[in-house]
Amino acid sequence: MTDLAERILDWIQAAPFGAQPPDELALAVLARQIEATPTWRRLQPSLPGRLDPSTVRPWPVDLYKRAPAAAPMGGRIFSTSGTSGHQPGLVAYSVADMALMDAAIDRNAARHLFPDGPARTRILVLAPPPEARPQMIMAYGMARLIERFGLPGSRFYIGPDGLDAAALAADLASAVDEGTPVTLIGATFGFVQLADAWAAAGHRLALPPGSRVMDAGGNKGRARELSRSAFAALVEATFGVTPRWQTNLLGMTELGSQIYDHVVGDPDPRPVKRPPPWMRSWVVDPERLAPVADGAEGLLVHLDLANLDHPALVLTQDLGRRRGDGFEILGRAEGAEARGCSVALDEFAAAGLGA
Amino acid sequence: MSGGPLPDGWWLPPSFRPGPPPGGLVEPGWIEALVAHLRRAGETLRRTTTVDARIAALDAAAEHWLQRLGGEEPLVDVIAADTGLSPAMVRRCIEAEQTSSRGPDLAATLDAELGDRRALDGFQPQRRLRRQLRAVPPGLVLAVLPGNIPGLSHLPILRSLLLGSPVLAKAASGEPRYAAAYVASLAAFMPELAEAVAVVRWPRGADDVESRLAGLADAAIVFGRSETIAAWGARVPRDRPFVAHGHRVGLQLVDGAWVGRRRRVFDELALDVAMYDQAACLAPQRMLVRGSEAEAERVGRALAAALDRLHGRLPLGAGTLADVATRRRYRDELEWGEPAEARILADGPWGMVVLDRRRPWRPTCGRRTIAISAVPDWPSALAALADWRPWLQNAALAVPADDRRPLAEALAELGCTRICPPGAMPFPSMRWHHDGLPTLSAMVRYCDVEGAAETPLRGDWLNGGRSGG
Repeated sequence: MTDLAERILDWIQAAPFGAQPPDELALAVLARQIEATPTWRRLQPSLPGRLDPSTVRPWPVDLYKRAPAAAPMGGRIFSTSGTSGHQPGLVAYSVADMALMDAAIDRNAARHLFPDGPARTRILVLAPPPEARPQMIMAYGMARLIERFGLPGSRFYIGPDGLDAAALAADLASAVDEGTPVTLIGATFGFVQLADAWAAAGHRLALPPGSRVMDAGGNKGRARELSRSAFAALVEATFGVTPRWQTNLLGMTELGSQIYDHVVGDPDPRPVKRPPPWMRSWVVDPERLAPVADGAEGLLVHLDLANLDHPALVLTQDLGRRRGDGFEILGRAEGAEARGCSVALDEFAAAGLGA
Repeated sequence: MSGGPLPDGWWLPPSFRPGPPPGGLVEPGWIEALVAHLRRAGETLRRTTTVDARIAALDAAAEHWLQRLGGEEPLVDVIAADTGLSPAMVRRCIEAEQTSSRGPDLAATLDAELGDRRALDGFQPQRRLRRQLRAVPPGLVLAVLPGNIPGLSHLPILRSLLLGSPVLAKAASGEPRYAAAYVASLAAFMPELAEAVAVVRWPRGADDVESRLAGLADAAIVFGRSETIAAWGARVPRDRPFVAHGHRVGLQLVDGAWVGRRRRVFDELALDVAMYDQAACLAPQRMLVRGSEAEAERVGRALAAALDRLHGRLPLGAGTLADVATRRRYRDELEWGEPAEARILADGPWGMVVLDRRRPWRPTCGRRTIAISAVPDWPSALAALADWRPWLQNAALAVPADDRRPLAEALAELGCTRICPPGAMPFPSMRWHHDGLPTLSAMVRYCDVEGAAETPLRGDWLNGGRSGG
């Protein structure tokens, strides 16, 4: 590892939660990346001493869709989801990126999802395993959680034919019988579909104490939209896991790190995401990219020191509201969501007419 | 089980006793009761009013709105805040929609589509065709209202009432208020009209409500995104009229040499781009300039100046967050891309003009952003426009007189449904075949009184005369 990678790794492993990435470290990472990228260099010929998205141009996530990423020696390629109207993008992770991502996953999970220590729960994942989806970063991360934190019997439940609902139901029932706490992990909309199906079948469970639920992504724009509190109530009604033992994860293929909104078991869960000390997030005005005032809405920009060899300052298409030193996700700012019956950029893209 | 204040943007028939559902939560049972009430109100409307009386009332309502807009109108500011349009633009939008809703236009449109509008009141003789014709309107119209243009939400309601049909309308989240205000205004001119309309809202994904309603309606008018139209199209039974207005796109065809430095033409082209802040399907997203790259650049700069001038009296609104984020995405695409392929020629608080050599041609991000491409000749440009066929709607021609007819013919073949001079793009008449459709006659069912093919009816058989020839 290079000195810079070592310094970042140290920071990820030891920085106190509540701290922010030092500007000096962040600017060193960005200077290296900007120097290596002609277009970024053209738009950002020099770096200021202070870091925010109005002074350093963030890398738009759409750029990953422009050109195929070349697999770095010994590294990995992950693919962004190609949701309706979107081409998938490819993000290359170097060896150093992978090591930093692993460290970020471990420290974040130890803090937010397993504050009571490893090997306390059986981890059941409503996602395909990494062998089936090697380019899905969520599958990689969940496998890492199973490896580092799961009890024997932890596993994935999505196969070539979709969710193996029977196996999941049987394993959950066994866990209840044994009194083994469970960590249920999955995409938010997957939980909604599962809970709806169980409700229709009159099926519900009370998982053993210490069980927890982590959902990733969100539900905005889905066929059935639910508020965060309605989602939490649905999960509690279906699995018997109270909101206090639920947490939501924001993860992006473009970022090696993730952002949780709650430490499970802590009282007063509030849907506010606070980045870990090696990340920083801003809610910015889309026009000028300047950070907005507390309570205001805008686009999310993330700085992630774990992104050493791919862009560390990223402009997302996620809309958020600033909440003190954290933020709340509001949904995606897709072209198709913009007001108007004028044809959306995304609709043209879906028809194969440009990105 | 019901009651409480009417939620914002709702209108319910004044005599609908259950009133709004508790908490504004629409459920299938409540919808069924409302549908039954509206059907009865529709029967009363058709029994007690003639089409000409309805036209007169709708014309009076249009006049009322045009006068209201001349003074203080609090609704304008509310809609401006909801939509991100400037108050001046909101006024202009409502004015444009009501100007096209005047009585003579309504009567002419009905006559053009039905042959004789009085066929809505009863059988009418069509002597040349040797028949009597009756146009039977739907007993209930389901309308999914547009939310992109303030004022446009009145259109599906107006179309339904014109025919004598009651309408249950779902207001759009983007602009939820105008429709209810419009229906409230109708009550002063013909209470039966306001009694035959409900404007309500429910959250996306309320499948039980939407499926029930789709099965109960006799016809549907749906404005919205492609997914919205597909979803309603799948729910509405195939034997019911389904008039859909989805995503569309417009363009401007400009002859660089012909347009020269005519300031008036550039002002008209700018109005086409700026009106509705480009959120309308009518709006141009791309300008094709016949001529060299230098010519296209000169035209682009003149257009930018005209947009800047227009911004002074018809300001670009702040936009919604999604609008501004979409512009950021488009702008990033240009700035992070290859400047030789596409570059921002000029931008400001008035919008953006882009010189774009990329193919295939794509729409822009809206918010008064137009992409300009130089084309060497019209045949090659039209060939490249084949990609736009699914969406092509409205085209303005700023070309020499001799080029207009051949271009119009070619554009019609390409799928264009409206062709006009610069400055007219945002202002279609009620007579326009909206998206190429006969929007009123598509909703009715005809009944013909006629004899055998070889022995047509003669005289007044329907009134007791003898048949046969």
